[in-house]
Amino acid sequence: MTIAAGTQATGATGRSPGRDWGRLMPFLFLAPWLVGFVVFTLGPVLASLYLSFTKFDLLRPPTWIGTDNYVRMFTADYRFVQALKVTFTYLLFEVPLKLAFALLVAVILDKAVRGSGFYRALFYVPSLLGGSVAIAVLWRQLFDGNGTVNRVLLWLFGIQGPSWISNPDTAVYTLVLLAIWQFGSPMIIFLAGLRQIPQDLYEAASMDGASKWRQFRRITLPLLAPVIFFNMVLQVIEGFKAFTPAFIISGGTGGPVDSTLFYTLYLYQEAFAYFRMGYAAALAWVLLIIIASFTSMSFLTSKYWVHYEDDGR
Amino acid sequence: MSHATRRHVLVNSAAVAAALASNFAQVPGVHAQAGTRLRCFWWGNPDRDKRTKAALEAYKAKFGTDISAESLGWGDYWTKLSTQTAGGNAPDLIQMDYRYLFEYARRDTLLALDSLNPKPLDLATFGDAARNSGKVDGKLYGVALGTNSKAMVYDTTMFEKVGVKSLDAAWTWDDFARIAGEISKLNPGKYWGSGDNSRWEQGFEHYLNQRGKLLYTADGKAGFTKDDVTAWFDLWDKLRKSGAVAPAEIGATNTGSIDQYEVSRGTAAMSFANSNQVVAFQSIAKNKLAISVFPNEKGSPSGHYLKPSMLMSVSSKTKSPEEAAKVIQYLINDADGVKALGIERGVPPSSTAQAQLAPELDDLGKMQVNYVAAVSKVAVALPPPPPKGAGEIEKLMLRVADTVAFGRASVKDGALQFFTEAESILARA
Repeated sequence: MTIAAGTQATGATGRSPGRDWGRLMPFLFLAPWLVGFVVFTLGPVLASLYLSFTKFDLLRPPTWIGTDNYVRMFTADYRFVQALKVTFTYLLFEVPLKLAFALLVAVILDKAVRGSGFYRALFYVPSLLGGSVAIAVLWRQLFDGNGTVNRVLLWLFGIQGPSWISNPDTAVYTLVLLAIWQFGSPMIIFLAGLRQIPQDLYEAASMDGASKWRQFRRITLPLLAPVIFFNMVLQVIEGFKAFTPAFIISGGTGGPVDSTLFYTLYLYQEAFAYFRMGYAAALAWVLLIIIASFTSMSFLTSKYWVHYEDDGR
Repeated sequence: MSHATRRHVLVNSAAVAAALASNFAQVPGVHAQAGTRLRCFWWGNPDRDKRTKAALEAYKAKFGTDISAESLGWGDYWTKLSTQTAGGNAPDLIQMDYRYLFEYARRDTLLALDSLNPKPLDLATFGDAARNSGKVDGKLYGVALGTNSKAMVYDTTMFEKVGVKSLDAAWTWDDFARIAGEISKLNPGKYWGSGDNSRWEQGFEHYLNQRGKLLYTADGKAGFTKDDVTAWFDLWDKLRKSGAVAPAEIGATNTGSIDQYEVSRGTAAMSFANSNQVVAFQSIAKNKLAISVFPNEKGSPSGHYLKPSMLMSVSSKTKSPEEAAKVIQYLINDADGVKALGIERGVPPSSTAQAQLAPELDDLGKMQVNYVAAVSKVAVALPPPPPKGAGEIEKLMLRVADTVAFGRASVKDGALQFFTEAESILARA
């Protein structure tokens, strides 16, 4: 009691060292994170904003060139346009297909089949491996001219397939396939979402004679909408950030003929192959704005199709 | 003793500590390890890594200096080196390429080695051309570890199958088309006469040299015209269409690492590369390989020049320039160092090193020495160093040549695209 009274007394004056100490304490405990955040996140982010207005080749100090980098990007850089095209093509196929596939597998695994725990783990494995260099190398082997895929095609149907990864028409779709194959994490989230749906709704529906498909469309999909939305936002952001597979499969070039020039790969080339750190920083900021606007657009349109259970409407 | 005040004790113990410290400093092993620990960084392949590490180990055994070794592939090497240099953390010993020597030297990131020559670094046994190849603005910034020239690497077994026992040094593009065409007929659709060289910027440079032109002039401008590019793309387009040269899908998978070339992958009998690389190619290829000069037009210059394949430079930030120079001296003049490196980086420029290596050479080594000697008789002058932006134009060539090969652009449009973009890259750099 006396101690409590004492602190209150000093608190009233507000100037004693004990009080200041008390105020600083939380920051002291936060310090490890705070120092890390300022030094390794905030600092570099601000530095990159500054660099985006400079010309900087690492060996000489940066020189201020105003908005030249941004002007060039939007008026004179056809590879920037190509990088956007490739990235959007990739997103357009990758996000819906991956979500559909993840949902399909989740719905199947949701039924209490024997060993479903095992299958759940099994289907998650590609997501653990997928981002790795080894898998990208494996993909190269699979879709090469005389790779496994073509050998199977030849054996089954007698078709001689093209070299999927070295053909500018098909290269990006092998990367889409690689991404879809890593459906594990949205699948797990869908599974959790499916468990939240009250079973009595399905019982009532089947009493009324609704088919499985109708139940899926009228019960599962609407009640799962918030989860689908969450997964979609995550996948769009992930998709914009895709880098490793394109880098490994094209040997860092984004080839053939820039057909796998992902935005991040182009950014990397500008920074570390041509040493235009300033331009690369500007590219990074534009990517940030693109991702931010896509995410906010998703949130703005979500009220038309995402319904929350506790929502009054 | 009764005067052992606090002050006394302090002074005495400080003296003891100083004595101890100076004693330690006199122990040679401790001194060498604490004082001079060098870092050496190069680009390479597994064979080169093994040889270089062996040479550095041998140096340590002899002189006690610990040298930590790092190596990467060509592409990643320049990324890491520039990042380390920018961070003030450059390795002491830096393997340099002629392409980047001027850029690094002129930005004061390399040490001028003139004051360390002739002692401890002795270049007396180097020919003038080899010594000067490491000079920038009259000062010595790099020491050549090997000499090479571009070379066409071919599969002797496949050549014999179409009745070609040996290649004449005066062979022409017509001979090339004929031989390649015949080889393509051996296993149609699976194996071709030659890889597609239209994508290789240095192949284009060679073609220009044969026409008496340069890729880049001394003041960093393009030394070629749009018509030269058209002729180059057209040459390969015809070869591709006739089936002599592998199609675009094969060409596009050659990412430039040794195992991705056509002769290594077993998709074609000829690949265009550098003479020293035959060692690395042979370590992968099944059949016996050989090297030849590039095909030519009758009566034109050979287009070949002798180039320092790799230079060794010292960082301007190094704490032990003397020791670093001693290591280079060991690699170029000491029999042990020379033998450890062998001929993998090209023919050593020092005449004593060549003599030391001669009895040790295997067939591949002899082939290289003879090749470089033969080329030196017909060689054109070493062109001026490539300007900034040359690395980007190298990649541009890959991209545009692929566009033409895949039929996405005509020869004429491709040439125009390459020419205009190359000009704008040079203007921007």
